[in-house]
Amino acid sequence: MHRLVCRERPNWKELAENLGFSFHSPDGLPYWDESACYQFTLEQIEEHLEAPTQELHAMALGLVEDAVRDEQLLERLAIPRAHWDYLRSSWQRRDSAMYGRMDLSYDGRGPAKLYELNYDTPTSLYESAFFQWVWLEQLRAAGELPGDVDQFNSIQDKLEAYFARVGGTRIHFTSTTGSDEDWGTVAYLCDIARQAGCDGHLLPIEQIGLTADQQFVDDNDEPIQTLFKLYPWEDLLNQPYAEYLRHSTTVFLEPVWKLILSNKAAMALLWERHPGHPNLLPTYVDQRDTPLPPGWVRKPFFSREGANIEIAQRDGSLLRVDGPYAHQPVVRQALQPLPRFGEYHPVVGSWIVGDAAAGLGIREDDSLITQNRSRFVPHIILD
Amino acid sequence: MKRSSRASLVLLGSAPFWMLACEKQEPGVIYRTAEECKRAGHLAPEECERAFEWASDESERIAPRYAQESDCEADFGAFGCHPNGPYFQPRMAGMLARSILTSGRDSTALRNPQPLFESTRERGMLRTAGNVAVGRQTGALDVEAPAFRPIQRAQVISRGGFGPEAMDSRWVGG
Repeated sequence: MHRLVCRERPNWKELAENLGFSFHSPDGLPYWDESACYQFTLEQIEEHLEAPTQELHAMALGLVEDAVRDEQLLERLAIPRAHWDYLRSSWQRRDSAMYGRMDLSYDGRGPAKLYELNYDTPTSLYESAFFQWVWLEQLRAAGELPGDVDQFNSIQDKLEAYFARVGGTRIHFTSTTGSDEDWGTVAYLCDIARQAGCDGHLLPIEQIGLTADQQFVDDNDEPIQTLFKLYPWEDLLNQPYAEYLRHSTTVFLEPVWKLILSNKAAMALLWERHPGHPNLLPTYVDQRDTPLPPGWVRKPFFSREGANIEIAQRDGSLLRVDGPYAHQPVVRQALQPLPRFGEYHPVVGSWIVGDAAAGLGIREDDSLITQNRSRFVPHIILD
Repeated sequence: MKRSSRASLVLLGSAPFWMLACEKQEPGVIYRTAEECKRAGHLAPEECERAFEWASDESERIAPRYAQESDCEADFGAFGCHPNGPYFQPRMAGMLARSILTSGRDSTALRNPQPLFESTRERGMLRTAGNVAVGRQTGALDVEAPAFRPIQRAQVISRGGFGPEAMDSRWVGG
């Protein structure tokens, strides 16, 4: 696995804006970064990333299967009792899941180690599925990359196939409109759904209404049959309309059973079920006010973009990130430092679409903690 | 190929966008008839003749097969098919071969000539017996590698052990 310096396409920003990638450089700081790319061999992709992703996904679903039958597990996952029946019926109906992203530490020598599952509202979909694909094909066409270069990225194909199966029906795509990235992502998914033959509509989340018989409607007062939401379940369940979810006929994507996987306690449960698994890091539910031993990382159950993380390095020094999640329960995970490529630390995001490993999106940072300011860097497969 | 075959946008962005992934390409020749091949002048006339004969023999072996002439004509048009033993097969619409530079000389030679076909659903588009589209142009071209993959068809020794049935699934162009 190598980090290669690449020549940026001279007009890439204009291209990005023409292709709906308005969030390529938020606040003027680089996010999409094509000054470099990561190179993998096909064997690395297939043996060290694709196959383990498939296996880890199966293990995650196995955990959900067990948790819906076991109240102790639901308690340990800090899922409010009021939602248990709703979760169970969602799983038992086999409410289908569209996507998820696993974050892995991988340096080319394997085995990849799973940090966490982002299975409810994973970010960087558009860049992973579309923009890095276009980058590759344009560089190939220009002769800047060899003709037999490839990329582990069939995410858009698989999303389209997913919508074709869900298909023909009316699907609404919703998020808040305040974030270019969130709104850009749902617009992208709506686009794919339309290409797959679905009747896709964008809908700002605050425009969702309620009828007298307690069903959800869109901004034209038409019923919402299927709603893809880029909005976390744990927040949705705290909203004023949450009490109407249980008896709503609306099908939600992602389904509510994803709540079981969308907190980091699930990582502790996976370790408990599969101790010593080569792709897992030792993880335990932890106490916030105890000292953190060297070689461990403490993370809140529900946190995003590295907020409220504490790292106790092996030399005893502590790294801390502030954030709004200071009062949540925490887990402790064995420290697996991100690999270094020069001054850069890449996290490999491995995507699942439906139930298949679909591709990679890599983000890198100058620091050991991947945060909101980390950059998305494309990759290639070249033996 | 580990990536999507295409990427496209219909709503997002300033205009619709479409891009196809390309497979690795290799040099080949495509002609619709032996006469066209000879007129093009890239190859010796005997080379053109030989290639078309070879492709025609191959066609009997690897072209799609239909139990009913009407099924074949549904895909390849009226008069688009001919009988071959108990089956019906589409007529050849062209020939594809690999071209290689012969050692020591500046000339090309052909390898593995194969038949090409044209379906009624996508007129003008030439396809291999394996249903790989190779394009509408003829001449000396770069052709995507999947077109050159050999077709395996088993040697059938009997049929009908379970009663009447159609052979081969319907060939789908497009």
